[in-house]
Amino acid sequence: MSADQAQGGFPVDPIHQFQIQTLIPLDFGGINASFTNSSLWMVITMFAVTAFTIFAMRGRAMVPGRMQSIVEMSYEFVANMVRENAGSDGQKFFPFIFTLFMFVLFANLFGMFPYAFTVMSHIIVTFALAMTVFLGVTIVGFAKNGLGFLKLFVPEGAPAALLPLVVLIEIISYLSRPISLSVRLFANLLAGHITLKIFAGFIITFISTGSVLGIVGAILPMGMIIALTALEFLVAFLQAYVFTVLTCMYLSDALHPGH
Amino acid sequence: MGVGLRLSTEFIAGIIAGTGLGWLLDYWLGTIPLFLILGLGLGFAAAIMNVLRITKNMGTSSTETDDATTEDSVGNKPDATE
Repeated sequence: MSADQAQGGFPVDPIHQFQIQTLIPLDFGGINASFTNSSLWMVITMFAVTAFTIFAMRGRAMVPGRMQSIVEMSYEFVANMVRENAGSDGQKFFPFIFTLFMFVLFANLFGMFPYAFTVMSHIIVTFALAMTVFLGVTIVGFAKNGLGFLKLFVPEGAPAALLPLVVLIEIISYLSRPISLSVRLFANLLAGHITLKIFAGFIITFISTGSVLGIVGAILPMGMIIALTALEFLVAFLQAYVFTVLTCMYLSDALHPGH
Repeated sequence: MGVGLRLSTEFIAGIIAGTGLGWLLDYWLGTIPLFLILGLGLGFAAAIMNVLRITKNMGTSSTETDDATTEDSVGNKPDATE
């Protein structure tokens, strides 16, 4: 793909990194359930998180070693996040939220390796996660509060004449949550990885001019790539954090809808 | 980058949710442009409400995104429509 575009066109195909490649074709009753490179990286992420937490905690030392304290720090980080945003009765859902945070974080960080596949750069993956959160939170809300959960859609102090309209808008606003949750994570990673590829392409364009000026000029996009890579690591962490914080907030809405 | 992207995704999500809901109703009832247009309008309102809900706490706290995201869990529900 990139070779035949090299004449005149842009030397790198920035979208190529997101292509899904089927590794093991599978078909269940007409549904394409093939094991792809995306699935492979999800499995790798899952095993990495499991191995990381289990092996690091194997010693169970009173004075934690380096690995153990990383795991304990991430545990405390998520535990504080759940307590602050979902309240103390949200602690019951800690295992789910911790899993979610570690999965997204590890998937994003693995995406930073060269030749790795960024799982969260596909909207269907983030949307599936967001939908899981959304449906789970809605079920928890109804299970905890019964029909009292519907108070979430009725704001206090709204005039009675406007109430049907306001409730309708509130419901749409509630339904937009999984969309904004998934789009934010997906868009940040997609945009970041494309930007990296494009600046990498600039280096090739500069150097292929062959002149001294071109080679010196290539330093500019190179510096940009270094800065962007650092930014991407920040984004990888920050987006995992934002995804989890919003999950906690939605959980808080489900647990105490009235307030 | 954080604040702008967060606000724009909330805005777009509101419009998509409203329009999608309207289109789905039309699809089931066979009244094609009616609910689509209504849903677009309501989605727009919901989108603006989404944005207002986030920006409400921004002036009082520091301008950091993280502060804003953690704080609107505390104080945005009661008077969200005002």
